[in-house]
Amino acid sequence: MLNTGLFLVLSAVLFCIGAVGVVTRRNAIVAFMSIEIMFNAANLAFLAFARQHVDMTGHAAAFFVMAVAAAEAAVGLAIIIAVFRRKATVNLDELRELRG
Amino acid sequence: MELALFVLFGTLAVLGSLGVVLSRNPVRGALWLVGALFCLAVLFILTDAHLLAALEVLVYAGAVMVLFLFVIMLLNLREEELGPRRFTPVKALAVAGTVYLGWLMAVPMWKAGRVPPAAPADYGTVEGVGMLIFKNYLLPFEMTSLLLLAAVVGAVMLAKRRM
Amino acid sequence: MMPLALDILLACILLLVFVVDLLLPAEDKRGIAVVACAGALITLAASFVLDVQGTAFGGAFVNDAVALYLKRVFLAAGALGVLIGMDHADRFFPRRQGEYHLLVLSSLLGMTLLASARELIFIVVSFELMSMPLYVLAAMRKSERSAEAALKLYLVGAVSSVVTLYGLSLLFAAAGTTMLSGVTAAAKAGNPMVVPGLVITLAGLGFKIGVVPFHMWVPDTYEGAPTPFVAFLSVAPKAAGFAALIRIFIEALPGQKATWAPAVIVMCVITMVVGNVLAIPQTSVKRLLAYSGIGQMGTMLLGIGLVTPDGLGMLLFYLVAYLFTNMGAFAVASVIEDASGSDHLDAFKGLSRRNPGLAMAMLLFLLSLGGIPFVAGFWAKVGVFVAAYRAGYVWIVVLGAVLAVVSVFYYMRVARSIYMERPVAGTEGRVPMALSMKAAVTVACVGVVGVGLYPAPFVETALAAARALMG
Repeated sequence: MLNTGLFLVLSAVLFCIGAVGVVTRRNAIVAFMSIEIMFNAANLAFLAFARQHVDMTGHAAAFFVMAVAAAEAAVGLAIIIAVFRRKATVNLDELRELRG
Repeated sequence: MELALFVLFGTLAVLGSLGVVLSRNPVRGALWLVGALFCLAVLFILTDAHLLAALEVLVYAGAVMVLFLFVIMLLNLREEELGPRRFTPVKALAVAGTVYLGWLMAVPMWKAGRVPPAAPADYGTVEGVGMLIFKNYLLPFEMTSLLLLAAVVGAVMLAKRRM
Repeated sequence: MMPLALDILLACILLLVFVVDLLLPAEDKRGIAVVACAGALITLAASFVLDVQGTAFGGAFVNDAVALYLKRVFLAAGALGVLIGMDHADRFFPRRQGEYHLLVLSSLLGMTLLASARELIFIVVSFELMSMPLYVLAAMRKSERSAEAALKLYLVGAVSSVVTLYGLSLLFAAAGTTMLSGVTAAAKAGNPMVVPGLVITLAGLGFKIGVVPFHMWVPDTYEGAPTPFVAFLSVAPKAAGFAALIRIFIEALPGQKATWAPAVIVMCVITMVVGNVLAIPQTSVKRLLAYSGIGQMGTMLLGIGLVTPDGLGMLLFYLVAYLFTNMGAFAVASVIEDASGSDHLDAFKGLSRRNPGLAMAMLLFLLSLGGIPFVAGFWAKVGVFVAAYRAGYVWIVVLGAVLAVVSVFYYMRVARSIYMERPVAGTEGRVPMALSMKAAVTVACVGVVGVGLYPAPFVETALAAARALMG
């Protein structure tokens, strides 16, 4: 088995790539996909730490995170459809009706 | 052998994630993400998480990404709606800040890692994880079922036109 | 009795709402709100009757005094929230009342479970069960703003979930177990992953309760979402966020307070200042209440940052006062908005002549928010600042007093519109109010005045719970 530090650094890198995507991309769907990358980075961290402690609790955590992220994606995409139907755009910059 | 696999699929996962963030067309982004998720499943196997690797492919690369692609196609964004590619100083600052935070995170992460001891035979298998989920984590499991119920009810309602 | 009884009861009521929705005809679904409201009230009553103290799942789920106290706050907020939303739901989305109340109740269930969760996976799942219905509920109004408000709430919520999750994974790394007691042990042993873990977790939870610098979504979401839902959103999920903070920081990591308490104090001072200052120029009452709510969050966060039993007890008491006050204020805003289609200050002009009772109620809520003596909010503010004084933070007490004066200034601007100005032409008539809304405003008024006149029982329960938790 490899040093778990490798997986952890990779997880931090993926988390940051996802964070950059959320902050810089203005297309709501791409922002959502970036959030999914971040969820997966967190899962990788959980699994690597679980392997390190030889404790499957981390697997249970990743399992629940996956279920939660799937449900969240469904709700988020439904909200995008609702927004698109009313405004015909999913660009976060064009959604300026609310101030700030 | 393991190291070679890690380097190969780790690099591909990073490239796939960069593809999501950088590609202008969301359809391409989604396909990049599917690739990245497959690579992550391989990495999960390298941490001996066999069940989770299978679920990653089935649930994430399968169901969730199909949902994403379905919505992208449903909205059918045209080229002009994708908007110009702008690179503002604010964005550059955000990227720099995130990279710095990433560096701050990566160093303790590397230090936290070590070569783990050998795992028992049922580690990460359906049986091992299943026993845990249905015994110790029965309550979160049931809560997740209610969560999915609420998500289904909410998503269906939002997608309908008539309130 | 089993510790899970209350949560199972609430889950059954949730499923009952689902079934009742299927049985009722599409034209008249008003019965659902009654079932939901009665269900929350029955669960609230059961929390006093049944003996539910104890632990389950090897200590992962616990019903101690703090958990019970918080559960009662959530259930009261839920019942009042359903009562406030009853008429609005029937008028603006009559065919979707079943979904509306199902989602409110599932969010409520997530909160009651969160108050008892003492394990990382329990915390994550119950937090999501609480948050996810909120995203959908925010999108339920027909206006364009509503879906946008939901999108903003969703983006912020999802990002904060994933950040919190990452922080919790580091705490898991440190402890080698997901039990919070294990995290405490790891912190005592000086594990190096504890500090990064708790910093990231704090940032994630800060997003959720909307403290500065994570506050930008609050006013936009409040402005765009259905107002009766905002009444619920502005109180219950915030209280749940505090529940998570209490479990993770005060219960599991008191030994690390040298690391996180100063960060919390800084956050709370900035939040108090920014919230109160940005509230001054607002002309929309919902946005004004949103910014003032951010300021109130800052004051409440002080209860966490002090890390004393007094501070925690006063935070718990503050939640009760805030529940009646803020939900009442949003209920009045909802009445006005439903009648005139606007929540601008102009829509409130001359309310005292159009509807003296409603004007009086709003004045009470504003006084309580501003912390004027002998209504609920006064004791809450005094309690928190006395606790801060005892912990040695004199400068925060001075700052808090200055900001309280500032807040009275902008709250009284609303009161002046209501009492001193003539109604705008075309809005002179009496404001129509449904019976359920009258009941809700009355309950809130009774709560504000009652807690103001007899704060002792509430304060004593809150302090006893806090002392039991912190030893």
